[in-house]
Amino acid sequence: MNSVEELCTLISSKITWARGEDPQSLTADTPLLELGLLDSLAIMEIVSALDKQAGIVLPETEIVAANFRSPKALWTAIEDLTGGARK
Amino acid sequence: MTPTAPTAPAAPAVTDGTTGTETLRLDGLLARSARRYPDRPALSGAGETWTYAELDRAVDALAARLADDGLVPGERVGVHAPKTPSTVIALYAALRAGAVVAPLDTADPPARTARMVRNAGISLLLTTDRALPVCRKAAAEARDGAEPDAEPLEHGLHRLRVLDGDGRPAPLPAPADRGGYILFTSGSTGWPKGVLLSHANVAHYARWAAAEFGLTEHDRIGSQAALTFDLTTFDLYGAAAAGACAVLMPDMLRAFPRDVVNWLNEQRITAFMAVPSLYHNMLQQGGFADAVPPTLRVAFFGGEAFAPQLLEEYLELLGDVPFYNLYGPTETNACTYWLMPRDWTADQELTIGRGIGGVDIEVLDEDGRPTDGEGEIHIAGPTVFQGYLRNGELTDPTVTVAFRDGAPRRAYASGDIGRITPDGRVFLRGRRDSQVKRRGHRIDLLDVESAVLDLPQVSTAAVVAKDGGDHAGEIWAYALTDAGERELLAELRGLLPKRMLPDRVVPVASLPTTTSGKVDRRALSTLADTPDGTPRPTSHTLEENRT
Repeated sequence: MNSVEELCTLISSKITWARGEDPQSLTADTPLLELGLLDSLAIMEIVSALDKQAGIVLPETEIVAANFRSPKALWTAIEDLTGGARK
Repeated sequence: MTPTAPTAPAAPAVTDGTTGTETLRLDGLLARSARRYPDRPALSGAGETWTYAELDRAVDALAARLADDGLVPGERVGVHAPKTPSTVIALYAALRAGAVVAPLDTADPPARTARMVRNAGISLLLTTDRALPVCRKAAAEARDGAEPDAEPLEHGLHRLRVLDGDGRPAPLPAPADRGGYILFTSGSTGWPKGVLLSHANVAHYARWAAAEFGLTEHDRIGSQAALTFDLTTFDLYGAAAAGACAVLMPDMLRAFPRDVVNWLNEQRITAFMAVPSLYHNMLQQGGFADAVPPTLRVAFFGGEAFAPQLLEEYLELLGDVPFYNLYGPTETNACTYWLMPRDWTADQELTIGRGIGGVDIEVLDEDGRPTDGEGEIHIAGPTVFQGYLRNGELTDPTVTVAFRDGAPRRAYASGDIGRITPDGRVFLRGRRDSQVKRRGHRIDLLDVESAVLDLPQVSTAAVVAKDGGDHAGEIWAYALTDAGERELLAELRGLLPKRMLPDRVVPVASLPTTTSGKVDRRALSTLADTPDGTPRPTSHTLEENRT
């Protein structure tokens, strides 16, 4: 997990996209919650994929709406967590 | 239809200026509290707080505007908007103008909302700025593609006319000719059924709850569920009956148990009702045990089974705070209740309790006779709904049956199987039809099945609830198709709300049949895993967390 773009790809793969919706359209600033793209299952899958694919363990205290508003918000939380070591 | 006799609780004394029928109307409960507690907070959310006087004035003004614009009593109005104070103002204003009001969920696919609009005979939609695009889409689908004009109203609201004067369905019979409330349930045909409740149906429950649970003008009722969910009639109208404040939780927080727990604390919530799924998550992921809201003085659960171990933990954590089990289908509001004993343990049987004030519960055997054994739970009394709306028309499915005292009553056959003890406590056993509870929502498997069968890639399909094993309670669709699971799920997203999506869609080459040649649903429901052994696309240990 080296960039917010990679994170977008991971998030996108956990969303059940409807026909006519474009998974490619997900950007760092997409308001995930406002658009109703994430339900609680998708959120838990993202958390689990971060762990399995990137070794990033999000503590439960970080699984809050503020960190899932957009891919960028989640990326910032991840960077804070890993002390900016991830580059 | 037999008119439902409004019984206890009796109409309050006239000394407070209450008119005889005021407390039988939902907007009347608001008006009464506006006179009693004009300066107390009535509604809070989205960073705003409205006092009873302010809310009542705003509702009056908007109701007058809607009437001026041609809204007539008995007309069916959909409120299709996120959960904000403006949305609640829209609900109350439409009610005050005499409309039959249906809250609609902006998270539902427009195609499904359009089916609700058509089935209920909704002619006008109210929405907010933010939800206007999705509302337009749903309205256009309901009108076979023709996009209606939107007209702005106060408080960031908009109105969209779906049916013009002549196209409006004939008025509903009394009492719905003067307004009412519509909530939708999953139907076996793939069309959501509109459950038509009268003002009195909902108001009776709201007044009973306010009195029984001792709600006052100092209470802050935390409202977390979508307004399309019957739980929220307690939040909104229970608050109005007591002069309490309805505190709206932002829709966005619903999927985050930790945020819900923080919100309960920050908002100093005193009364809270939720489905067990949310309570489970608040305890397991939300840190509830370390942050029991100190202001909480009464809590409620209902809608599905509570995991016994977790329930026991809650009773310990809540201590002196009473924790009630409520039961009731949308068709009757909550109709039984039970105060959980503090020393209840997970090995004990759990009752849904006794009938609420004025409501009678009976269990009838297959011949329609009261039984002490297992049978179908029947509900009679002032909360029993008026009937279902299909194609804009009302059908009343209630039956007139004799309860064990010999008196015939207009009763709703709930489809729930259970038994009743001599002292009136009811125990649930299961369902007699294809309905299941998933994540606190009532879902008809045939509803999901008709959506799967609507897909052009699918020739035949069966949808079952998994029975036992790791996937117990999950909804799995088995489909004869060349398409893949992801593709089918994407298609279903356009037809079904997320909460109704199957957990798995399993492409199969054939469906097992019984000796009579029917699809063997029992075999499918106990089938250990996918027949071809394909791995699940997602991690399933987290499955129960979906809301």
